[in-house]
Amino acid sequence: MGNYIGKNEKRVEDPRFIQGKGRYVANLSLPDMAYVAILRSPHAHAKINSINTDAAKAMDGVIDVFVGQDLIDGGVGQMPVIWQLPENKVPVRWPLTPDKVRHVGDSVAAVVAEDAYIARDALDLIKVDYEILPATTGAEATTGDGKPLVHDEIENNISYTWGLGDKDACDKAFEEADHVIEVDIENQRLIPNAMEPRACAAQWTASTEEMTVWTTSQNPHIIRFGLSAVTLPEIPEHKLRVISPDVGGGFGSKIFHYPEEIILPWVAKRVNRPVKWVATRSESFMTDSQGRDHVQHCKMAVTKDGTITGLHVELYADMGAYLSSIAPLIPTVICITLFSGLYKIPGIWGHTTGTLTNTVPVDAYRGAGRPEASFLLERLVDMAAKELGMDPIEFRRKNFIPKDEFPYQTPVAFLYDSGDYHAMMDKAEENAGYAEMRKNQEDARKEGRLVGIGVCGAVEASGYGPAATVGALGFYGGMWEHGAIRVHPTGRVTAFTGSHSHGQGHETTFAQIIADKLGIDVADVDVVHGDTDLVTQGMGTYGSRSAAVGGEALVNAATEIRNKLVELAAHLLEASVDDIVYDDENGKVYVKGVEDKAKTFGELAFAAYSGHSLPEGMDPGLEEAAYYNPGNFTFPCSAHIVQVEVDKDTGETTIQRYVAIEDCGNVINPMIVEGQILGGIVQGIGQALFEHGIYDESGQLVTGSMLDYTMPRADNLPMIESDRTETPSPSNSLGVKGVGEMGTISSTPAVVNAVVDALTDYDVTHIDMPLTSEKIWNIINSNGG
Amino acid sequence: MKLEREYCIDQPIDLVWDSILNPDLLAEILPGCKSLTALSDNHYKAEIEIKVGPVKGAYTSELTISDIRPPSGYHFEVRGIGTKGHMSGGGDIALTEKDGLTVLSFCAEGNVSGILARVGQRLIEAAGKKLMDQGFNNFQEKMAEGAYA
Repeated sequence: MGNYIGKNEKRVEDPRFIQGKGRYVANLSLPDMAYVAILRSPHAHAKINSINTDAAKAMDGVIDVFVGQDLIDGGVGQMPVIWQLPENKVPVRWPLTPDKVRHVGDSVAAVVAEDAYIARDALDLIKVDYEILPATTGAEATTGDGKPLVHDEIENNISYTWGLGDKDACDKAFEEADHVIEVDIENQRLIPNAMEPRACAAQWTASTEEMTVWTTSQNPHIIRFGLSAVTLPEIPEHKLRVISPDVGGGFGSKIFHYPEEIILPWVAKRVNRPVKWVATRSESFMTDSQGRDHVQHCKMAVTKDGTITGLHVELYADMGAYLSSIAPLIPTVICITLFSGLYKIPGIWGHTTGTLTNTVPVDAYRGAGRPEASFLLERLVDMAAKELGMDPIEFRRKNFIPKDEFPYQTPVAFLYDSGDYHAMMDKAEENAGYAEMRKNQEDARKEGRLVGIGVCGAVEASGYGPAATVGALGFYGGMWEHGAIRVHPTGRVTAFTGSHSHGQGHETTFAQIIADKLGIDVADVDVVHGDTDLVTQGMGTYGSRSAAVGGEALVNAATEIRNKLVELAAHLLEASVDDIVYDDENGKVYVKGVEDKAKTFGELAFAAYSGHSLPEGMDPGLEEAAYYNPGNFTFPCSAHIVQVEVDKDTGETTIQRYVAIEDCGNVINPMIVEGQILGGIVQGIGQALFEHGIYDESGQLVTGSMLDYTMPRADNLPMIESDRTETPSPSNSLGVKGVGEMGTISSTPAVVNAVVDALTDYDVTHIDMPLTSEKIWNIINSNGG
Repeated sequence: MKLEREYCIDQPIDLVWDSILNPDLLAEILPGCKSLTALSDNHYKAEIEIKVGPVKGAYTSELTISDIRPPSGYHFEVRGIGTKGHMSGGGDIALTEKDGLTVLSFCAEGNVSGILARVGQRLIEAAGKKLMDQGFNNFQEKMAEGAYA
């Protein structure tokens, strides 16, 4: 144990954030900057007969107006889909659509003007002759006969189908089952709503033919690659710099390559001025890729002693009007692979149909496929326990994978690295005072109060991921990470990571790792990320991968630095490398037993740069870089116990207690980890109780503002009692597992299980989310209330 | 969205009937209608503006009246295109006599797209009812003054 890993270092990011001094894309101001506004379709589905931009172009202060065909003629490429499944039908998508709009918010034209207000006003002067077409909505309904086609060339609006598991073993389990639990679930559409809306800016330097793009991205290097290789080939990769400075929340929605990232640099070059676009909240609602939206037909096979033997899921996933960058991954590879949950289930089969509708595209959103898996599984588990008359914790325990069976190969591809699910659930039970909780529930019920207790246990695959594995499963890139450490001649350190922090606190945690690995003061380490000119390469941040993959790349770079320092110290101290001791506590390097003649980290750094006396063959300087490709994913897990009370008169749910145990392996900064867990839990509660992106039959988004889309607020929430168990991951040297998504993955089913438990007397086994008071009130009042 | 209203008018039914075929009056009672110009018999050009809180949609629309049954009612259809989307709807106006008064019932259904759909849909019905009530008050006052006689 070093000086910093495992300690609550305060976030070095916070002073600038809490003072309003963050450096966001929207804050960027460049001399002679012009502003872009984008015309969005009001229709879910319409043919564009013509676009007249004359009046807009003639408006005072308007510099130019561009339509889809202008960009196509000007050499832009189609929007790429970088995770594809076998026989995946990929719809054509341009940055500005030239011929047809396919969802409300589809991009039609771009105005560039002297200021942002003129640009927006000019949108009203663009006359588009739309021929309105019937729209199609509904993940499963859209595949029906006679439904309008979102893309004429894609039959039945089916983009792909994909299955995983052992179908025979699954069928056998159901043939032999004593109980078959069935449920149809609608896992509703969610709208991400990061606090910072998306923004993009671009600057063209004609004299050197260099382009700089600022974008609110979770992965600037991937955006640079996408632009130079596919969507904006006129700017080669070595002439293109992509910067993602401070980014105010992503939750997955800022992974993807968005049209504005192409439009802005393309326009900047055409008008030869720097340009900027910042989304309005309304634009965020209709252009940020959204989340979830599954229809799932599920059944579970159980024997009479309470052993789960089979799981069968047929699911339909709404992809929206186009495939967003990695959309096909979400309801397939990343989802079905978690159908085993924390349990030994011999027969699992999952099958997904990815469908197209006239709605905003759907892609990864916090948890990304794993909440959809944990929700159906944990609902079925709860329903099974109830049918068998078993306590939900007892039922889960009976089916847990025992700790001595790790690494555990599931029937759905994954090799779980480590876990102690029994210990985790024991701690949850103990922290909640579960027995007492149940007794109080009985007492409350006797008084006619609707108190419910919900339990959930879940696992996720994080630390995405081994390059060959993700490649075999459909990803066009690798999911390694890059890290570099530059020690300056004074011994201060600048570290470069390809991970991107948009709230995760990498500048703090990565500095803690490096400070410990080099035995130096954490304040002597600066972490740089989010700039393709400064950071050599990177895969970015998503899939709870930063610590396990990005952190490990920095560990490897630090190890190289140490090796060089040991060699240098051996030379300077005239000793054998084998006799050199590197003191982790203070970075001093000395010959075993001769501590008083130690060289400090700073002295060695200076010696490396002076180059006056180096071992034979050693180059001057002290800078190392590493690429780290993980050998396996990491598998964090959690157990949540929730107590709710439902108001009989209003149907309103109040969460009275929330007990959460997370196991994300070793912890680098407990305070940051807890922050991630709390945020994740709240986002999951948001899905369970409040949030719902609703489209009407004509494809209009009727929850297109904060007025109609309910986000969870502080007064909706209890104090969350968060705690941990720590089962180190054998997948990386730090022993860490992902933590960014675990809270969300577990909290959604935990809360729904609690509400269903509260409504035991009303003959209800499942309620689709969100559990609004209206929905609950109707259940109470239609079932003998 | 659906809009159903009923108004009691202290005027004879024949006079009310004549009035609701008068474009100026129709402009008064159709929620959000700013002006109405006859294009041909029973076919009008309408400028319609729907405003819900800070959100506004302006539509150049065509209004067609059909199934005319003097003096008991008619059917109408309206379809409009604006810069921020489109609107369409249709409904019936029916007149009946009751205790010497004329009861006008208005029943319509419609759809909007664009920003009003995203931001204001939940509030449109309430706003529409308010607009209609105001329109009818104006109408009644004007009828009482003999404006449409």
